[in-house]
Amino acid sequence: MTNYVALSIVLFLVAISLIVAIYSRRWSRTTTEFYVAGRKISWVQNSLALTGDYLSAASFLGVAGAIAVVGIDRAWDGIGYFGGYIVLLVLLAVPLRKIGKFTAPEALTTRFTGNRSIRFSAMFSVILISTFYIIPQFIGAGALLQLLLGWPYVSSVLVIGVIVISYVAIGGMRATTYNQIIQGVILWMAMALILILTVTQFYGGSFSAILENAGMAVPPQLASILLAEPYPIWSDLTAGEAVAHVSEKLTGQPDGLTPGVFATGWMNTMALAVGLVFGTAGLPHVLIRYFTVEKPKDARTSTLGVLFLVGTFYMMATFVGLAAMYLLYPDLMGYFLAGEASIAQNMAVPLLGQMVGGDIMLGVAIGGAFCAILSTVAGLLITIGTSVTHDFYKEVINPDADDKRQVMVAKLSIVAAGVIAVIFAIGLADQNVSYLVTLAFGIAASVFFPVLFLSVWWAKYTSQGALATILTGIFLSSIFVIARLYGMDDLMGIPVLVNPALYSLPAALIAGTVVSLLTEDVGDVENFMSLAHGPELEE
Amino acid sequence: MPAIAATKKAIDLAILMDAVVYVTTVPERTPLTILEQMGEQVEDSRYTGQMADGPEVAREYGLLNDVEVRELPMGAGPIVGSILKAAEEIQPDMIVLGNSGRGGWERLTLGSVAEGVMRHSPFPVTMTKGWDKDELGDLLAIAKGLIRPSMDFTREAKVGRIPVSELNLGRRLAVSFLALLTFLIPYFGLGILNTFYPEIAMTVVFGSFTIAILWIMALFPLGMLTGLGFHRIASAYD
Repeated sequence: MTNYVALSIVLFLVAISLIVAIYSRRWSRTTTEFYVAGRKISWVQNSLALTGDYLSAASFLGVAGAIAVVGIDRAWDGIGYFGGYIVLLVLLAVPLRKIGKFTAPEALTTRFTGNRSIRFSAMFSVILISTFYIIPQFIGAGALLQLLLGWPYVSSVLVIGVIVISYVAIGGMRATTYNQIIQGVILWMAMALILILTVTQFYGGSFSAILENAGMAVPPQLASILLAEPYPIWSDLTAGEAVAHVSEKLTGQPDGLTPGVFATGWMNTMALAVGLVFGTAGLPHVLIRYFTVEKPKDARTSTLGVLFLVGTFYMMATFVGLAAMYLLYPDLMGYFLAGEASIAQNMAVPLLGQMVGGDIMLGVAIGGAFCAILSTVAGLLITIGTSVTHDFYKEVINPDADDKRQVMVAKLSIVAAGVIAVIFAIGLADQNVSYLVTLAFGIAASVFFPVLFLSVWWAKYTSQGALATILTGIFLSSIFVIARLYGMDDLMGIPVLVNPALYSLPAALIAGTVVSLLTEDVGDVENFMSLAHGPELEE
Repeated sequence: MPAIAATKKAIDLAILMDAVVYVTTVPERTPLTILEQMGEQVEDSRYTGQMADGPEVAREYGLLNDVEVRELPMGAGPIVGSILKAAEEIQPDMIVLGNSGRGGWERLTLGSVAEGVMRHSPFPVTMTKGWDKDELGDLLAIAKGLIRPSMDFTREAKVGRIPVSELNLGRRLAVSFLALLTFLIPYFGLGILNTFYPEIAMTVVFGSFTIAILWIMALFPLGMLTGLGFHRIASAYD
């Protein structure tokens, strides 16, 4: 079952990304040209690194994959992932860079000096959000290996987990940033190539034709639930025949262009929209990148670069997903009804790649996805490692730890978090990876977004208020995520929505505000606000 | 260690030539995260043995040998470029560098700064190769007493202390919110359209493009323009 052509292309692409990354790191140290160009390209580099970091399995496989099985309603994921950067840009990017600390928890204790309750609860949130974000990456990687090598899902996840964790713990700790830059470029181009080949080969260059076809199909995930036996042999049917067969049996059902299929009702739609758009500004691995840009102004220009890169990426992914729904209709129905939901949910992009460009494009698609997964997991694990060493180990256990010891502690925590994520990935195999990521966004939107927003913009915010925000956000969002994953419809009479943020974000903001009005410890507010908002002195 | 070997060489040469020695260290500035930088530091110190306060060591050794040592304070930046730029300013007779003796993987990934300077420098370059611990004994003794504190990786901005009331937080926040609403109103508007007016959302405008699809596709360029507009306004505050 092993597909050697595709496998070699995957290995080639991943190797290229690593080699180019190594070379560019070296080049940046040993050339003079870099100095001249350095100032100009630093924000380009940073936006590419951010893009590589940000576009994960969820974006590369999940967004188009979800649209292919549910329809246009899942375009929300892409719009929300994109829109989140606007929230980050206008509210937090420059202040965070100016505060210039290592981690988001440390940025908070720059204002609430020495407050360990805030620091630890924030560190715990970093670990929780980042680990939860890694799980879908491993699910995507497991499904990819299943497709590429024909291995069982569990062993696929175990193998890829070991590879990725050792890559970060052993080699990737240095210069992961440079890998992310290259991987950002590769996965953007892979998506563009698949879209161009699809629209020229099957749709005569017309995007309207993609929509027309998707408008005829009952979304496969819905159809697979509603359709009564006996089923036709899907592999014998063409796309058109399969779509027609299902539409005939299931009249009056939504099609690929019907809104509201996934997030039913206004509460679900708004919950998803809120969780996504405020989630990015609360993701620890995104925030950590803002501490690395050269100048405060670069924080804004980098974000503009990201907006352009991820915006165009999601526009392409939307059309790839809609095209895949129709073109892969027999395949997707077949996988769902054969109980292989993990492939049906997440593999539309590679399968479409294979359809339009044979094994070579299958390899390009899987290679692009591996790049997305490697760069994102590396960013997440490094974020966890930094937070554990810097916010906990060096703060409490061993304040005199030298760099060497800190790096070792970071590596240990990276391995621990990676192993936990692998275990959960095995348990959550059949979920769409983008959906799981939207849940991580929901938690981030309820913890770091409100606490950073209030700290940076409200002089009367108090340390007790900040703690109330973090605890309320993390508690409410976590229990609603768990309830959702257990399939509960309501929790003590409150409906469980597709995303927790509609409840937990306002609750966290209100808790922080009310507690702050009742308490007085505003922290080192003058210093902190001058730092975050004051005009910069010339160096 | 290579830096110490180079210091020794430079000062020995200065004794012969009756010259002044300029010393400098360049903190490298890259878009790397703190942990990555620490990782590189650890690798570096494996070759150099320890992290000493270089310029101080040179100054003390210079005092012992009656050689004037001046420190060139240098901002962070790309290492090779910074060294050459400093050289252009002081027009030295010679640049002395230590070769790290990195090999294999380290050399492949990190390259060699000494090599970079040699290749691009308009001035004569002397590069020390390897080192003999006994020969460097006196300098090493000085270096052991002058261990540099752990690197500070923070990038706190340099700002003056200003009372909160003078920061115009309210006005700034208003500008930010205005920019945010430019995007968020149509963003949440899509949700309202889809849930409350599905027929309108499904209305075909041209080809097979429905209002909902066009709305989705318009949100992306709208977001990019919002970002650009905000950047222009915010730049006025910098």
